[in-house]
Amino acid sequence: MWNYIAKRLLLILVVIFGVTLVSFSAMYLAPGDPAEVIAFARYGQDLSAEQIEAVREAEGLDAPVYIQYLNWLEHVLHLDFGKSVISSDDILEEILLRLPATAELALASLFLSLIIAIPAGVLSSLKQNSLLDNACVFTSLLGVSIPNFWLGLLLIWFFALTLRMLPSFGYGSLENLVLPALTLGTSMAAVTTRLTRSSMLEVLKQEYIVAARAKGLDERTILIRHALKNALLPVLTFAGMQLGYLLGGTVIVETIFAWPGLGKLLVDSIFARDFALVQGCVLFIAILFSLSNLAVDILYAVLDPRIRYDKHD
Amino acid sequence: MSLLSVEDLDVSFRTSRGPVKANEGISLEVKEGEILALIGETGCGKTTFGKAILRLLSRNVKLEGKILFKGRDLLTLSEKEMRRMRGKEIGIMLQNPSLSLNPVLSVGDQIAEIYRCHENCGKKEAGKKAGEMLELVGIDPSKKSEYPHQFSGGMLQRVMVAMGLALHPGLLIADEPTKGLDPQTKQQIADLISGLVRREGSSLLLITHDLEVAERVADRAAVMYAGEIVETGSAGEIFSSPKHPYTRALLESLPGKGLRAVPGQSPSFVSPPSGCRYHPRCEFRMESCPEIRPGLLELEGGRQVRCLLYEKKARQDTGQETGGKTQ
Ligand SMILES: Nc1ncnc2c1ncn2[C@@H]1O[C@H](COP(=O)(O)OP(=O)(O)OP(=O)(O)O)[C@@H](O)[C@H]1O
Ligand code: SF4
Ligand SMILES: [Mg+2]
Repeated sequence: MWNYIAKRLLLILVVIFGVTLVSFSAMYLAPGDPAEVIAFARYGQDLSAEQIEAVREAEGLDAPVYIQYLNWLEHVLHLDFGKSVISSDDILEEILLRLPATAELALASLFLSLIIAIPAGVLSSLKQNSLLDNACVFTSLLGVSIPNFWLGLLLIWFFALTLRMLPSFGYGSLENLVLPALTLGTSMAAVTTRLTRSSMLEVLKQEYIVAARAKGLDERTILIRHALKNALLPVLTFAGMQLGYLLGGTVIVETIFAWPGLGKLLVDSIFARDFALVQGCVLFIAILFSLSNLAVDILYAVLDPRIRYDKHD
Repeated sequence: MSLLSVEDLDVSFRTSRGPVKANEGISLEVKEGEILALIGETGCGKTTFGKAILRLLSRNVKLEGKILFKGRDLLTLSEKEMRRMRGKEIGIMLQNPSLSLNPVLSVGDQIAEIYRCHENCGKKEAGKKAGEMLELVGIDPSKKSEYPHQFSGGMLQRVMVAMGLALHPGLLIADEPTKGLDPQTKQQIADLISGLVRREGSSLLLITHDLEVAERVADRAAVMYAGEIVETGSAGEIFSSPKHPYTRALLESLPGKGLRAVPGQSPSFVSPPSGCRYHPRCEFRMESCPEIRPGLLELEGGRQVRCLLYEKKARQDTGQETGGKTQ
């Protein structure tokens, strides 16, 4: 098992290295001259060429690109993500300030999606081709096809504008959380329900289910001990990936509900041409994503003995 | 006295290609304390028969006839009553242990759950009993916390034996317990199963296409072809003087006797051959074979054979005219 974890960790380091390359080059891939952007933020309109050159020199932007990358990397390794080009705020501080909002929304919507999807998927598979099953399949197909921004607006229109039950945007109280979490949670539940259903159907076909029945076990034990434990393995991996994705901030939903999370920070920084902040956000989000994948891999190993007792251990 | 008596059992699966009659008109007995080998080539319906006894077949199945165990017809039992039979009165070792064991549960837990369910044992006691069972089949009890993928094929088969015999059932059904094992392990497993069954005074229905294993341990044998029983009798007689042409061909395919595979293809269950089902492959085929469906004929010494050659002979022996219709 340690072997397995070490391998995963190594893989993640490689991925993160790749991400540093990509996020660093974001600065040069975006249109415009970085020195000009900084100078503009500092001195406003009417920039002289000298001012721009001075900034270029001061910020080390005249050095060869790989030197700039290595400098940046060295700072990042010391957890110094630099300062915002626009506001001069510390980038890491800014990101950490936004993290709780994103994490709150991510966990709430993941939880919501799982408590909908797992029972629905399991029931659906147990009563395959019944009315209930068909209803489940249809609803989840609908859920998959509805885009988030539309669902979000629909929920705002219904719960906030028509019923006036919930606030349509903002952050801070539990009431604020309901609509964004519902938007994300239900649309994720649609996919997870389908996955749970097909995974259960696959497991129920297995010979070890017949073997469990042959021992005289009751259906409940067979379902929970033998079927569910196996069927939830892929669901778990998927949920972990979803969590990683959510922790990166959900741009659309955070924007619709004015949710002050990472996604919104990233979008705002892109529009502001704040390339240093974009770099920091992308890198941070990628690291979060990798770490949550690592957590899933470890959890998987704990639940699946075939991985836990790797032959090479 | 017969422990299990199957009477005129039909098993058919509803499929998109039409009904698949995997067993037809099976009548077979397993006596108390007896080892009966059910032999036949791949796909002839042996597993279907074994699973039908415990009503373990998929939902698209239709069972007709009688399966009497200790005089009670299993086909009339409720699902709850059936659950009490499974494992407790009749144990089964399913074919292919690596698929029949749950990959995410330890082997010890998979044995222990039998005690927890049937005997309401606590976790600890069930675990202890599972350990004893493992020891009985020759596995170090300390291995009970290991998982199926850590075991070799022979060891997995031993786990299956432990599961099948956990509650000392009167009848054990063992489906291909020696398949895929090397010759030495094969003998060990065959001897382990027959030894334990004999010691407990239980009966064994040994499903196998390995004739050497059948010959080694069985008291009686039944030969299945295309979902029908074509010959039964004491194991000694069947292996020394087979009567049915299929049994003969089967025995000729033994390594010691020339290793000549039974010629021709296995028949289809959706549209089985007319008349005698073996006629497209039979060396002794007569003109009437594709038309007349032979019945199971009783011969002297408790032997049965399903072949027109013997029906003809029987009629000649009793002085009847030849050519009359048999059903
Ligand atoms: N659930 C099912 N639905 C449809 N057909 C089935 C089903 N189970 C078995 N059959 C068919 O019944 C026939 C007999 O299969 P069975 O598994 O009983 O043979 P077998 O003698 O055990 O073969 P093997 O030696 O390969 O184990 C096969 O043609 C198979 O395709
Ligand atoms: S009935 Fe005819 S075809 Fe069938 S086994 Fe006997 S001789 Fe062969
Ligand atoms: Mg079989």
